[in-house]
Amino acid sequence: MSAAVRPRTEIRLMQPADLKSVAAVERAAYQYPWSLGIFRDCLLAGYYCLVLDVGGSVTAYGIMSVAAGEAHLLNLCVHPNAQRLGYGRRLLGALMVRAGEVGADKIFLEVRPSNQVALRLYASVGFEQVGIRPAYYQAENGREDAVILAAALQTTR
Amino acid sequence: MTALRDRYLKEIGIPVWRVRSAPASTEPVLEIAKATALDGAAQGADAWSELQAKVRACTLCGLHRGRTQTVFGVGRRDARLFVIGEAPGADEDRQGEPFVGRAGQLLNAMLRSIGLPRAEVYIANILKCRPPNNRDPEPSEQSSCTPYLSQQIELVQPRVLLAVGRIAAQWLLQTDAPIGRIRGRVVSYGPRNTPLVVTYHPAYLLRSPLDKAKAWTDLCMVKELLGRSS
Repeated sequence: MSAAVRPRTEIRLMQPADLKSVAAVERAAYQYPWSLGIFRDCLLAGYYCLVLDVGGSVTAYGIMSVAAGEAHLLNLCVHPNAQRLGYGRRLLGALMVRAGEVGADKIFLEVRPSNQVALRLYASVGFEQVGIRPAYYQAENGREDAVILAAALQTTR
Repeated sequence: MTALRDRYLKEIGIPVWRVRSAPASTEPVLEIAKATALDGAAQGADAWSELQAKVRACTLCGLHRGRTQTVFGVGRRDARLFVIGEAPGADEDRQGEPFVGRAGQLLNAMLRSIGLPRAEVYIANILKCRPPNNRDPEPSEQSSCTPYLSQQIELVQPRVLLAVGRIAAQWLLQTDAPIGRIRGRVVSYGPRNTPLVVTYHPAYLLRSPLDKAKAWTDLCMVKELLGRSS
């Protein structure tokens, strides 16, 4: 009898043992996914990497770097089969609290303007558009711009 | 006569529907199920009887005061499909078995529609005791009772989980999302990445028969997943 079914969600730090599951969620969610190696580098670089575990399987994750009082959300991803259940919002909340704890007073991110679900989530927690990076993303027909969003954080340090 | 009528109907483009198999008469199936359960369950039998005794004597929450008896669960202990419901109602409380009232009959029909006799699956509820007036389970009742269900799932190790109704789905996925948003997808669940399908509770479908079409698509997903895993 291995670990029993644990019907609870848990947000915890990403471990090297999670990399395979994380990369699998990434591949399921994105047309141009990060490789497993990129996630490993994120861990090695000391980025703040969280996973959201539902009942024992990795369902979502977020990766953020914090430097010089600014946090940068590099990846926030929920498995497509588990979207619209509130997991992304919970994970984003945990990341923003953490960024504040380590002294960041602002958080930035890039998002595809076509990603309406993500844009709604970010707007609902206080993100606002501060710029555009032209032709930032790979896209099916050429390139897609990135919208740059920023939100103020409550510094708790 | 029938052949002639069928030809007429065919000519005017009316499909002829036939009953696929005789419903009811589950007795022989039950016998087979019992026999197989006995074969394969020797090693887990202790764990099962221990768990059953624990549930029977449970007084962890206030619901034990109002119960006629606990409703542990029923079905094959090596079932490929595990159905998770909400809580016993009046009929279940009286008979000690989950899904025996009108909702139970609909659940049986739903399972039969994808080729699964009731005796082939395992069925258990989030709560083992009946909440008064069929009210929703309290969070405290859920947290004291659900470890029993977790152990049942662990012992059965099903290939597919089917959660019927909002309470079961929200508990498994720990979300506040409404059932209409949770259903219609396959979530890989738990340490074994067991595929989980969520659908409407048969009691709800009795009140809102229009949603049966959606329940049918959910059941088809279950069928497909079971076919894939065999």
